Amino acid sequence: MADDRTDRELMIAIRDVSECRALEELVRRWDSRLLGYLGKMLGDVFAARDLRQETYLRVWRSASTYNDTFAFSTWVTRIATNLARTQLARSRNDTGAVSAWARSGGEEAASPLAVRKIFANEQELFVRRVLEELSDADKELLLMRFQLELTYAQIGEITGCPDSTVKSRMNVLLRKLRHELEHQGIDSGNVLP
Amino acid sequence: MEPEHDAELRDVVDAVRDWSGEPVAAPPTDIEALLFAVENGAGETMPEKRSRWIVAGWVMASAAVFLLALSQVNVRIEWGQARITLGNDVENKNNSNEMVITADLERRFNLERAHNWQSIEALEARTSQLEGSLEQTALELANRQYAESMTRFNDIQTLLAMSQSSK
Repeated sequence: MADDRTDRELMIAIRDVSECRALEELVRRWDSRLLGYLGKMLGDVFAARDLRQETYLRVWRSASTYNDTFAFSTWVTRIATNLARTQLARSRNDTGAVSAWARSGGEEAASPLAVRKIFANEQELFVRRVLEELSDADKELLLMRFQLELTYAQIGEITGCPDSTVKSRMNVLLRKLRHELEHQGIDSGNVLP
Repeated sequence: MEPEHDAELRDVVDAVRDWSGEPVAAPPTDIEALLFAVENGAGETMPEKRSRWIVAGWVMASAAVFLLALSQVNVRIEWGQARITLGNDVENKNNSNEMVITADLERRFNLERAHNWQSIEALEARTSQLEGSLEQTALELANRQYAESMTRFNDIQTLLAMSQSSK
């Protein structure tokens, strides 16, 4: 039977009465979104899966600190973002690390070969490369807005900036992307499937 | 206005939406395993686990010190019929001390008495010796007086004999 409580109510149930069913329901609702967000941030499916699990565990363990005046989406995104930032910093410091692509080589959808199969069009590949080569902060901003569908105010809460600043950053970023695509002679209207 | 609603940026926004919306191929979270991990306290980082053990160590050490402190005083906890006594019992301790003092007194008393007996015996021996000596002296004195008296008697008899012969 579907649980019709909101995310916030489910989180309050976890915080107040340690309700396992509430966690189960939140996992169901957020699983693919979190995996998509972490996968894009890290570029490594295995690491994304680990961090997704770690995010749920932290949601459970830190439940007592959840302030229900804020949305659950903001809270869980902050946890996942912090984990992803730590992981990215660690991988950069690890000079002997195997590249993320090599580590996720077994995952068909994440491998360059699979990407080529899915995006046969070279232009699409270029767009993808441009997006994946963005800085972590820019990628984070795009994913919070377009993948997790957070509001600018919520992104502002997580990043510690006023929402006007977040909007301004987004505007600059989108224009930079458009310029880059145009500079490469790609009509962005053609890259869409 | 939100940037993504700008007509100039529509195509870029669509491309970004497509990129961000692509599913990442991975199985969904194993909820059973997650709940098991949650119930068993998994997810703690190593420093957290270590600090938990350190805290537990401190708690155990504190409890040991507390019990040691309790053992130095007399604590009695009564809960209905149950009674727990910790530390030294004052009454037993007092009784024990009293017995030690009594035994010590008795030992000292016996020593003193033995010493006194020795003194008395020594005195008795000395008295007996003195008595013997006095008796001896008295006897010698009497013998000397007797000898002296006999000498005088003999001298007088001699004088008398000489005076009668001279007449």
